[in-house]
Amino acid sequence: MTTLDDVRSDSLRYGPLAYLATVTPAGEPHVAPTAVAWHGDEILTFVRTDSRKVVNLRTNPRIAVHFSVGPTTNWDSCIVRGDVVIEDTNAGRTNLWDKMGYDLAPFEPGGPTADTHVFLRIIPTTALILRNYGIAGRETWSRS
Amino acid sequence: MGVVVEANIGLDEIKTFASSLSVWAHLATVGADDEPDVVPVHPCWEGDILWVMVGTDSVKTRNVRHNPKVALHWQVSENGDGVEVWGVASIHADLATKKRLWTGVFDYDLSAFAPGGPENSPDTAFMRIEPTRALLLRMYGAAGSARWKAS
Repeated sequence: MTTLDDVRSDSLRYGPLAYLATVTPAGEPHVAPTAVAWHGDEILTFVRTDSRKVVNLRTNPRIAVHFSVGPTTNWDSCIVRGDVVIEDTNAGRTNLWDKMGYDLAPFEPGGPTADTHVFLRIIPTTALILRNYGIAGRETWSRS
Repeated sequence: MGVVVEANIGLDEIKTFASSLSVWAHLATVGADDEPDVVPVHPCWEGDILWVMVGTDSVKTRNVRHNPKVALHWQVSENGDGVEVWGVASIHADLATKKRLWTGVFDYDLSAFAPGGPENSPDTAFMRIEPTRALLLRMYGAAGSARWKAS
């Protein structure tokens, strides 16, 4: 049986870039690439406060995360669905500031107290791993 | 230095740019429960229409039957160039469409995924995506952006 640890380990094969799908208030999908990092059982990303994805998530906190695909990982796919908590307080940003695995300062010179960036804490609910487009099998994980 | 915003561009430039990035795109759809889904697809252009081979019972197919709005983001290049295309999708499982698309439109062998061919692949269909707008970003937007919108 696939566990969240299995999903986390598999996701690390694809590199730090993932594609985040959210839903606009009008019900239209949006998808954008962003760097992600695991922090415990959650996936973190650091994004602009006024980005489309943050606007969407304030209305609908559901998200789907698809890690990059490519020949080096045999065209496998790892997709994680979850709920998002927007960490937009000084305390929250300060707590997570050094958890992304890269220096955030070039992206937010104002540091963790600047309101122009937030962290998204993605709490996984389900996950799907497709081996070689799904031809070689699939693995699923669900929190419940 | 501020972000360079390019002039609006044509769909042909979007198609050329997307093709230069990757054969893969990340297709986002929305379910009946308003939950987003995103999966890898290998879309191909037929004129100004995008086609994607799909399973008739896949999540993306079920989602499009409920909400035809889709978004695709081509996998970004190493320097962060990318393009997102929004559109309206429909599902086509009729034999005439399948036979027409099976050869000459896609740049890979569809039979590798549906060995029965167009006549004997009842679980296979095609998603037709009519683009409505697009956003091109160079270096994640730091080196400029350009937009296209259907008239």
